[in-house]
Amino acid sequence: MTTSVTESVVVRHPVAEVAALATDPERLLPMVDGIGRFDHVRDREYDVFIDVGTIHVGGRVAVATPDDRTLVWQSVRGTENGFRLHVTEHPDGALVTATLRIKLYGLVMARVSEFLARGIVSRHLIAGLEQLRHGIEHGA
Amino acid sequence: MALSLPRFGKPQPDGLEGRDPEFIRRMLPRLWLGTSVYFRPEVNGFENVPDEPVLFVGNHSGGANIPDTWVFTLAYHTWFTVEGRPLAGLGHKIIAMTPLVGDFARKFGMVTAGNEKADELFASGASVMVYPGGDVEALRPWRERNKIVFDGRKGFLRLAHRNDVKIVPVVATGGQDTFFVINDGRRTAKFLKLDKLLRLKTLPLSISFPWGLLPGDLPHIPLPAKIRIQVLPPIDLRELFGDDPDWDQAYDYVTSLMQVELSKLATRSVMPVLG
Repeated sequence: MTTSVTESVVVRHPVAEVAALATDPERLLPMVDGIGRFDHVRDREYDVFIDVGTIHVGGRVAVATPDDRTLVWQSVRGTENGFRLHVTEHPDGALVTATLRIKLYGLVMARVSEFLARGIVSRHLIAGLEQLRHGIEHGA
Repeated sequence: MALSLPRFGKPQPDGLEGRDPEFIRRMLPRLWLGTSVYFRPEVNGFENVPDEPVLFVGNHSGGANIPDTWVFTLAYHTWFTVEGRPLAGLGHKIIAMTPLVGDFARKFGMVTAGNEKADELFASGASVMVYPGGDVEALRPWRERNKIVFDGRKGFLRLAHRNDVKIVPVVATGGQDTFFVINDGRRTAKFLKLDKLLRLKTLPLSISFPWGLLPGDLPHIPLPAKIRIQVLPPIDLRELFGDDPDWDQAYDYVTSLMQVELSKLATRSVMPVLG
């Protein structure tokens, strides 16, 4: 069973500037506190885990930047997930949209887990996007 | 050992003179015990508070009950002790006018909100707690529970700047899980002129125990939601924005910082209410 969550935030800065930071995993991942662990393993591969209560959820992901406004990753081990972050024009600056898709196994438990996971993922995406926005707008 | 009950003989004066340290000392253990069991609070960051009068600025949640405000007040007095720097929370006059509750709150240091009162509090060496979002934020819809809603109110910035005190942001999650607000009813409140008559800008449709579905909000039995509070490092407005600040810029910075911390705090929640 696959579920995906999408959240977005408006950053009041030029698109090019926002995209340059948001699509660079070396600059983006350290800004996001909710990612409890991240390590650069080898070229274009990272270990990315988020803190969920007392456990870490995630695994190794292969990162790609199909264009200069998009960052994607696909899991290669651990929790099966795919991530896409895209920066578009917005009247106030730039709109950053992040989508995380996760795959869960099972029937009843997968549905219960999906219900919980959607809330958890949504809160993590919002927190990450807010940190990105604040970091760019206020330089913190 | 006999359990001494609080006594409310005569109305408490409004101001720091109404604060009753002996009453706080007596009530603190039992209230903290009950709160610890019921709300399982986690309060962190008091080490960020400098040893000088500061303006605590918090996000307001929980409707009429404001449980996170009580948790913060209790935690403050356990960290800094009852004899430490007094904490005065600026509150709505509706709370001050409520029988028993108003006296109880004043004994704990609540003062009816007002600029002159706040200036006097700082001059006397107290720290002050404000919730700029007020009723608008405390009654925001549940789906916006992890949002800072100060409604454009910038008076707290001028208050801190005028008194040359630092702002210490305090963010909290869980308070808005103690009941459910379906919508905030801003249009209804305006139509009924509640904003002019009672300084209330919202009239929410809420679900709470034991009232059920209710237009507005009454003191209710809160759900036992997990409450998390984070006290942030101080913000020196004069250092960041100078002697003549751009208030919009300062407001944007403080609310943005608090929003980031509130969103981060929310990620520690696995399930609403349970925490």
